[in-house]
Amino acid sequence: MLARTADNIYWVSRYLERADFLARLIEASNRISALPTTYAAKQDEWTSVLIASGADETFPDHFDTANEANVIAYLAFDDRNLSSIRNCIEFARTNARAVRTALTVEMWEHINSAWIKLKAFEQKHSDPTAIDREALIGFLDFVKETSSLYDGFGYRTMLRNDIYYFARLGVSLERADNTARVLDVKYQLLLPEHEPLGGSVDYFQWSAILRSVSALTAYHWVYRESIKPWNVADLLILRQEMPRSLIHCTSEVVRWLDAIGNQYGRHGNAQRQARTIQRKLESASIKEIFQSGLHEFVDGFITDNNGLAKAIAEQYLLG
Amino acid sequence: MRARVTLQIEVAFSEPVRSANTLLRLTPRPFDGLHVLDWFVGVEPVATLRRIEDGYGNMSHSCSHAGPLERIAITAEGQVETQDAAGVSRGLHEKQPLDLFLRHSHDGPGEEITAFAKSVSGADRLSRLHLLMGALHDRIAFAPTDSAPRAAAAVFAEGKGCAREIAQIFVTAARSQNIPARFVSGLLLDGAEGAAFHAWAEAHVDGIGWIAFDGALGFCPRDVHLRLAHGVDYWSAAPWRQAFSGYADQKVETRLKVTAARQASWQTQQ
Amino acid sequence: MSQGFFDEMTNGAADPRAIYSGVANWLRAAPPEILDARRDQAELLFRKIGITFAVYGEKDAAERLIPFDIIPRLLGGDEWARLEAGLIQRVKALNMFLTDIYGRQEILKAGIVPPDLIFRNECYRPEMQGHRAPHDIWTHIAGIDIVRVDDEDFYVLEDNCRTPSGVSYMLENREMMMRLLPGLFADHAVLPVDNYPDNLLASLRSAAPPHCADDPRIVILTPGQFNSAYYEHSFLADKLGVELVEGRDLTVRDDIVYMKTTEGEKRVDVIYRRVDDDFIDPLVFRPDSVLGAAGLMGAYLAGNVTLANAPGAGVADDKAVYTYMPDIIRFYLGEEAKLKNVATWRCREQDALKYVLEHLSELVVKEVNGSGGYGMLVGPHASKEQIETFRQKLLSDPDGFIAQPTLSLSTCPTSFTGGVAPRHVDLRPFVLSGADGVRIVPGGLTRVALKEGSLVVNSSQGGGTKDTWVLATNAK
Repeated sequence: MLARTADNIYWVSRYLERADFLARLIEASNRISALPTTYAAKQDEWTSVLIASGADETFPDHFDTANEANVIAYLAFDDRNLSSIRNCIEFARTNARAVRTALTVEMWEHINSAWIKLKAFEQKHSDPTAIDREALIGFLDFVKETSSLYDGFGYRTMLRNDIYYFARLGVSLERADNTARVLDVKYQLLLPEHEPLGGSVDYFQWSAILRSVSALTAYHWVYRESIKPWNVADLLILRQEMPRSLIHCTSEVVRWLDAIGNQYGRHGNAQRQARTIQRKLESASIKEIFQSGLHEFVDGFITDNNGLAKAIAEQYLLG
Repeated sequence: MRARVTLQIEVAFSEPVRSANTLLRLTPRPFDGLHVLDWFVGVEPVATLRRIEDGYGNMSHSCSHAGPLERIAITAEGQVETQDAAGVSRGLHEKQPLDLFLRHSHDGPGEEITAFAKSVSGADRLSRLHLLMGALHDRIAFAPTDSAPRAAAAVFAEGKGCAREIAQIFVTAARSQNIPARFVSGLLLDGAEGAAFHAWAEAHVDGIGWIAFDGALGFCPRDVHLRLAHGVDYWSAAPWRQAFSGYADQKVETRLKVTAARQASWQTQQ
Repeated sequence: MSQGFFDEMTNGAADPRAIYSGVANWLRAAPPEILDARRDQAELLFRKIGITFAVYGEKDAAERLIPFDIIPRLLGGDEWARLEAGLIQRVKALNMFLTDIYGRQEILKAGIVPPDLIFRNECYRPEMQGHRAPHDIWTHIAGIDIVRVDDEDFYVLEDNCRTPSGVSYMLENREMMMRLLPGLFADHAVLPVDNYPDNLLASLRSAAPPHCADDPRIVILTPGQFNSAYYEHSFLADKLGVELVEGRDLTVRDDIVYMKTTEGEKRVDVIYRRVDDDFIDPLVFRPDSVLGAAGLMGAYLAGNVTLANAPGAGVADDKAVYTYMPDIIRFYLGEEAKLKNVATWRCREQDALKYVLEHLSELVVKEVNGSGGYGMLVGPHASKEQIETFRQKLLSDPDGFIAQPTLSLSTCPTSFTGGVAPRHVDLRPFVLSGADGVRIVPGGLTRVALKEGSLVVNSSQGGGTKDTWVLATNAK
């Protein structure tokens, strides 16, 4: 397969996964900011959303205040924000179009239709800061559906060969990165010293974190108790059965990299680095992580994960 | 003039690049005004240099380098004996018909250059070309630069240009008057500023053949011009062209050393 | 019905021509709503599949559909046989002409074609002089634009020897018709076109350089997805089962072309390139091009890779060279041209220029190097100012223009919202040349000028397309 084809496929997955994550992040934050002020967050919710989505550096170039309307407009609809939802869909479609023949017809037609819908939505709502909640919720549902259907079409229709592996690799790597981003921004809420404060404020923050990675229900199934911050951290970092946990995503990354390596008969740097990250997670416990610093741990993971992405690009893609 | 010429081009990349491809036209071909005693072209890091005669009859070399690559050094050196032939380039292997050298670039010669060329009249084609060279020399100030040549019309309007640009204007002007003309790249072995890359033009006069005109210096090339290659335009005669893949800035340094030995002239031996 | 034009369905008579009787009956029987519904369906399908093209210089309309007309255009088996023989003859002559021009130049020495026409043309590539294209094939894929003016003769309007496009529409239009109008299709014995990709692959394989005896690696080189014909490039790569590469996927090392894959570099043997000469190699042609690969020409001239079509092939489809095609065919093949040329005035000739200047309002004036319907004056439809502008252009550069009579292009019934009306059509069959001969599938792309009275069929100028049905039965 052409290195560029692999690159395109991998990025379609990454962009669609990112769009899905951003949609969930906005939804979760929307719920928090809709709470009565007594429940409201101590930290500025919309600023932390900007940080988690990596848009905090460029946002001030375009807006004065980080209020709800501006942040949502920037994260969801602004074409000046390289990682806005609309750009994720646009870039995913551009990448898909470049390799449309490597995708199945279902996948291509789905992503192309999504793009046409996006265009229609934008035509209808020319001022992104003036989109009402109803339209926004409709849009976010559409985004989540777009990612899920793309995944589903891929799962149902693709040949299980390197093309499929690169598509899955993109999803897993992006997911790991997204979960780590949420953890990185919200880590102080998960620290044990917050526990005595307890109270409802943090409860809603914790549930918002779980929502942003669509893990609220999963939490109850796994722990069968009310939301405790260390459990949230445990769930999002170390639980294999949680599809968005760092450890699960990393296992998936290892799995798809191995599949690629086996098909080509050669393992390299990318495989080695992925295994190193996996080992670190497997040998960690949530207690030790809190002892040596949750923030440092997550930061370390983000650095490793970025290093891995670079190794993958160099070994297989256009790197 | 008998001279030992050493030319070095060193390309340094700010970041290692993935690959580079290079095309060189740094080998002079002998003709009536030039005897090449020996000549050598080399490249570092060492790579296979493939020698091809191009579509015009120039001797070219091409090579490729795989990365990571931080620098490429090109060397051309040898001994030549140039002779003042009043600018006539006779005895070259001509592969293309005169009609090719009447071709206009896509946007044509432009009104200003055409009008300028038209305004120069002479008793015959040869004297007209000499007058054109003189008029061009008066009109366009010679200002050497390393940057890529601009379009002839723009340079003409500004009234200032490097040797390549002035040569291109001469070619354009001559063709606008239906006189076959071509671009020549080469070296100036002994100029006011020492030795340097240089460029001039050749125009065709029936009965004589191709005659070289140096609009930048204002005289017909004599024995201080070392001819390397010709083509329809600058790019087809460029002494070297390179493309690389990777994200890097490129710094080019050229060094040219010429040791003259006038007394041992080949011609005086006859 | 338009006056003075050959209508392919009626030929001016009350009853349709025999081969059109099925279509005529269907048109009479089908209520307008059905036609409208089918047309909408077709558009929806095209958009969903993403069969779009880009128009240069239009930002918002970056991806437009070429309008598709659901009424087929029919040709009889006998008509096609004549056309096919003429196309084969013409493309053979074009390849021989190119071999000669970049070789011994006999035709110039014989005084048949004036040399300045060749050498002053920017499409003549001095870099190719003295080089023999592998198997003497220069234009592996040629698109020959054909018009007809009566029920006898076909005329060649233009040869396209560089990177003719449109074949994906020929194939998709057929798929569309079989899906939308299966009944009408089944009632006609339509010769198939869907073996075109196989033919193309076979032609490209046969043109591989000698070093790859068994299994040449073939790729299609595209300028990228923002090119107007990108859909076609990806479509063909898919149908051929070959990689669709961009310049940045290619590396040339020691005169051998490689493509970068996930398993390392793989050698490339044949490149069907949809990138113009100017852009294929920044070391030889335009230095600012990133669409090709540095060193590609070196690899080509060393015989390590085949480029289809060959660099420099464009010199044969120049509109001024076109006027010499009957002579060119006679010179190389010793035969008379089977397809006629449209009468052409070469403005470079004094008498012709005088005539053209006196009859500007009746003639079509074309730039010798123009394409896509740009830089063209259609006299009968032009304003006074436009005619004056062209008069000045002609006077300042007569060599740059040719003129032709306004052709009475044939018309075909075409469907619009709420009705059917005749519109002018042309036809672009695709002719494939390989080391093992010439291949043509029966049919081609029928382009239709959708504006009433318009003779410009180019998609960039509001033209549409139709499916072309070559029938097993004869027209006469």
